[in-house]
Amino acid sequence: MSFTITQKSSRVLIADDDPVIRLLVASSVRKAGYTPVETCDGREAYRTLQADSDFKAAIFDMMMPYLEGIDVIRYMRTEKRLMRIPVMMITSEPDLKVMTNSFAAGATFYLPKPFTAEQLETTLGMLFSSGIAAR
Amino acid sequence: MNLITMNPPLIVSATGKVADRIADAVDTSVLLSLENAQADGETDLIVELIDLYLDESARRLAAMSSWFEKSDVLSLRREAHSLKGSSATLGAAGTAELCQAIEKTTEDGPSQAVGRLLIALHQEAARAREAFLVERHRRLRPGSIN
Repeated sequence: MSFTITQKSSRVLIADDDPVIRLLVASSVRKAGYTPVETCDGREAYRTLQADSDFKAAIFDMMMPYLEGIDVIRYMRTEKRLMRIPVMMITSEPDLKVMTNSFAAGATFYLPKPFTAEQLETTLGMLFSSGIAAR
Repeated sequence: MNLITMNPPLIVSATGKVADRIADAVDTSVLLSLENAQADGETDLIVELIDLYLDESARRLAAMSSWFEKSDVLSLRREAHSLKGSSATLGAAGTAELCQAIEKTTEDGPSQAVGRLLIALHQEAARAREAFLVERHRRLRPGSIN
């Protein structure tokens, strides 16, 4: 599957402390024609976003050291320059409350682990399309 | 609490054969389905994922044992949570289930039950490691393993 890039930025911010999941997501993002920008935890993602808003989309793990994914989303939703960036939340918690809290904080999509490459690809497709629609 | 003084649980496959016990530790159909995330012109994603997983799981298992001996269940639970996600995604379902059991059992604090689960996790992770290495070898040297 490939996605048409119509927006200025082709960069996608990824934050996950698990290098295995980070590699898998980054590879899928590259396959879709975008450029992954990888960070190892919520704090690094937060610092990246403080200096840089040139992202097509963001993908965060829920549970990370220092700052959780949901906290980074809350920060993004208070900053005008970051508000337009759609966010996909990845989590190991098969929990309705966690999912509800993610959407309430401002997540656009939610992908529970374990996921297949097809599920990841489909969700990325929706994520990138939602960014186009939001502009 | 020390893991060495505890009795490990018995893990036996249906057939009892060593090869079966290794092979059923990882569902290779799940692992190989991840090839669909392979980007053109990049190095073999499955081999990269295996290498990263083996390094990461060894580090997390060592950390979990250390946290258990220090009775730090919060840190132990966090490691179990992380290992659960990557294990399940790569097809190591037994490892993921034991991580989930540790997450659940540590809600009641440190206990002998957590220690037994941790020993079982080390054993299951060792089986998964062998299965991943077989698949890694097969991909790097096609035809060398049936």
